[in-house]
Amino acid sequence: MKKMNIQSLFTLCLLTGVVLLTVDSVSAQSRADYDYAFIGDPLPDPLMQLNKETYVLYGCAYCHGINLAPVGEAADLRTSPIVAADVNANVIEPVLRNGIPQTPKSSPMPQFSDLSEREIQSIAAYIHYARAQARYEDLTKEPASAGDPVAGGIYFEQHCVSCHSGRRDLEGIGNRYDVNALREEVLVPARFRTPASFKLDRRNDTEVNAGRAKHQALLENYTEPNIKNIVAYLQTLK
Amino acid sequence: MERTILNLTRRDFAKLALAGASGLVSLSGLGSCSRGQAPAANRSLIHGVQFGVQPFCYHDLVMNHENRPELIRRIVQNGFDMVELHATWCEPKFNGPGVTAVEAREKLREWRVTAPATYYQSIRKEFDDAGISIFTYYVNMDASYQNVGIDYTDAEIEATFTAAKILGASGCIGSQGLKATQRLASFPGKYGMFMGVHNHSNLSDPDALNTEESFIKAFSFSPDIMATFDTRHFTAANGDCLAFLEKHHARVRNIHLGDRRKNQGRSAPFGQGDAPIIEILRMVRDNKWPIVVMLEFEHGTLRTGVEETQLMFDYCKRALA
Repeated sequence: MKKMNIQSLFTLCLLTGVVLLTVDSVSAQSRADYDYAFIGDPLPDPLMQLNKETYVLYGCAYCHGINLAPVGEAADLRTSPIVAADVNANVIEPVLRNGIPQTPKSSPMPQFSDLSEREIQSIAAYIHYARAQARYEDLTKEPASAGDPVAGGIYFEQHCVSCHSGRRDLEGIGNRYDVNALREEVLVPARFRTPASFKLDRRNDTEVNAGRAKHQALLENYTEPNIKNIVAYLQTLK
Repeated sequence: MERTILNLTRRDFAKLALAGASGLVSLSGLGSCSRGQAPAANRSLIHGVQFGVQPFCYHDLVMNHENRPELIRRIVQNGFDMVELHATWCEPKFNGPGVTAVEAREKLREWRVTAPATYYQSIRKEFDDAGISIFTYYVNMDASYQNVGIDYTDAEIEATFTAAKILGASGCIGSQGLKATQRLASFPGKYGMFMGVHNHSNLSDPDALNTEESFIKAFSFSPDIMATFDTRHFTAANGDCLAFLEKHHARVRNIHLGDRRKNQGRSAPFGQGDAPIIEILRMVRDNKWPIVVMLEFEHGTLRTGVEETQLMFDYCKRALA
């Protein structure tokens, strides 16, 4: 048993070393001319990194900011109603394709009519991701606290009951988590904290995929009272 | 009387260009751009075309006075000896916790009208020591969003031109509209300077600088109004850059050289848009026009600003070879 452990450990170290060397060499080769200071470290999810690079390569970051903090007179995509209304680029695509020529701003939003559908989807996906990140950072600046459980219950009825129930999956959740953990579960549920799986049964799981998309959309648009009230409501589910 | 660039006449400029091409002289000791013990200049005078850089190119570098040493380092690294300097690289910021935007704007105004000459002299020395001339001082002297919708007072305009003069600039430039330009038109002459008007591509705003017609209106306000001709935005607004330069080169003091696609298209790396970059450069070179070419990019890149700017500068050098 002891021998097996040593062998396993040796194999693990060897494999880890090979993986690290491979990652490091790929990283060093492909990232040599990468502007870390402006773009930031590559994201853990390579697909989202591709989306981010597409956003940067077409110049979106120059005006709208790498993390959506706008430069100059560009629209703040963190609070943009256009982005809030968008699902899978259905609103963002026509804006990108046509630009916004009629504007009181000195420099109108250009048109990007030559982009492929994939590129449009990538840009939209990164905008939603960065917007969710920005909301998350904003909503977790202060320690968690509970708000109004009645208002939280109303929000729950409006936005959550299509998937969740206080008598089924969320029964007793108020006993299992403290206020900080509850807030974290509301903002980014544990099951969605890793990149989406490409294992066929997971990839084709429409329920999981819909849940991931729904929670990201919610995160993008939560207000501070929303979160406090939902947390307060969930605390009542004993 | 010919108009001057860097306080040089066109003839001086042509001589300088010739000398620069052969690497025989530096700008030191010439006119107001004397740099004392500055390192040899001319490094961005390429085949008679004077290049500079618009610091927007360094996308990651926040435009504030704390980052000025890094800006100077990058300009030198890219091989430029001339820059268009935004006021934000010089002025302190007054916004912060508990200070409203309007309060910060008022404090900035107070600071501007009382800033001592020595403040700007020391900034100029930083650039002089690095062998960099400040060709233009970029300030939007209007009631735009950059000024929280609050207009400049006359005293503030005077203070801005005074600061620009101390910095060694030949002119102030801004992206203000026609109405604001008309108001500013009488000021530059008092300082022996020009007021550069910079175009964008907004065709929906009748007050905007965007087309040849709008430039002609601006020129009519004063002989001291000059074009800071942006090739990217002019192309995006479906303007003909070459035709514009052919007709109005005498009123063009500098060019913001960059590429964009027509029909309000996106910014693009040099050669991938519709702006005739090579033709513009050759036109300036072959006609010996005293027009400074400021490289500027807004297109996306994964490279650093220094690397991308170098690629653009190398593109221009090949265009003039």
